[in-house]
Amino acid sequence: MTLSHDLAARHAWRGAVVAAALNAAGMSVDYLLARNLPAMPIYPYVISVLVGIGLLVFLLIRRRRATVRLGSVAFLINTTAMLIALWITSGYWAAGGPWTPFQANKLGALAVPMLAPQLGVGLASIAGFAAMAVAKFYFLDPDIQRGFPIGEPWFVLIYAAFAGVLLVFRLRGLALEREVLRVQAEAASADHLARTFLRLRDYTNTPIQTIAFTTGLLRAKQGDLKPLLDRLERAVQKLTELSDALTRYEKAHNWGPGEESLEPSAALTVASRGWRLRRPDTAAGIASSSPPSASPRPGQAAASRTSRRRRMRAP
Amino acid sequence: MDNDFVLYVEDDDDLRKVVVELVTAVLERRCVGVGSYEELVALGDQAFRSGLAILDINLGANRRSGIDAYAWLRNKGYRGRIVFLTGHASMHPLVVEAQRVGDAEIFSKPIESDRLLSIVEGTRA
Repeated sequence: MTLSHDLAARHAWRGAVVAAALNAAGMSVDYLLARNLPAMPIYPYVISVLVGIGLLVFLLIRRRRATVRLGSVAFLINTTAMLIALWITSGYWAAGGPWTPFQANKLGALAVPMLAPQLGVGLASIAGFAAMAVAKFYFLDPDIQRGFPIGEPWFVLIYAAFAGVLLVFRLRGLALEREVLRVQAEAASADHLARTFLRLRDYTNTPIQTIAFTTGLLRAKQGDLKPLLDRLERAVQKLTELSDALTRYEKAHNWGPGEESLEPSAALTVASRGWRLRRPDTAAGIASSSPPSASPRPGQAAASRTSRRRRMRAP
Repeated sequence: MDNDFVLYVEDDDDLRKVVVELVTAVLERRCVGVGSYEELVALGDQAFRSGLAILDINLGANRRSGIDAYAWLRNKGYRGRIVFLTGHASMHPLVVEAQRVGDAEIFSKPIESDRLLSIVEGTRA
């Protein structure tokens, strides 16, 4: 599972949890306000509240195994329970006296953009709140319809349109946030890779130096070994070019406090352990997408060797 | 005691021994190798008589570095030439610190043996 997918699942889970909690709390308050209305039934509220609480418990149990799909399904079930309850109770509200039509539907439509796990689920929920209000209007008694304020129930469509725009805006923001986090994770992995290569290079430089000097010593002592020593020198030359090629990672890596005192071999062990731990995320992808060039361009190695000699003068 | 010898501080035993042998065999010049800052300090006055000190920068984890060796030599009045020979990247904190310490030169491993010999030759008394 990637970091980006983890975040999406977490967002979906959190949105579904908050939606279920709002359902349970909101419907309870709504019943307290509506309990004196003539013949107002309690069962729609009870069902909706129980669905909300049930989803809340279920989501908390599944907290560690949250997925986008789980969050989306829970969100849709919660919305459906609320819509059924509102469909039943809104008729009693409308018949009960002065009433601002479909406030709960408008509030629900505006809450969806802040909580919906996915675009499709969000749009369906917003459409559900708006369509339910408009459809319910046509199921009401004509006398009640005539008592509606001017423009109702169509205002709910304006709320729905705004909710749709907000939903798209929020989901794009979340996607951007996830992308930024993914890029940051990739950068951290690249830094880890660079550190590993630098450790490797630092670790090999001393043995290479030993071979180079030993070759020079043998050449001085045993002139008849020239062909063998030439071969050794060429091998050292190739290793040196590899070391030069790894120099490109120097500027990509910021040394942390205390890193300079690590034994190269110990650092390599730590690095490889960290590498294995990161592989399930994005590190493996990076390793395959940006391989280091093994050999420098012609002349590059020579230029690098020339630049090796860094002279310093006292200020 | 003559001042025509080379002082080499390097924690890698193999490299230290081969440098000592190389300088001795090719240039017929005495070379004294030590493996740590503490061994260098233990040399005492003998260390100050060398014409050239070659110092590895990193002398091991949690140990005094070649920069400490440089500071000790200079603080004790050493007037010879000092050269750092390091396997670390130029951005490494110890190398960056070495670049700031003063009049030492820094060479990155690996260098060719002829290059080492020319450095030593350049400081023959």
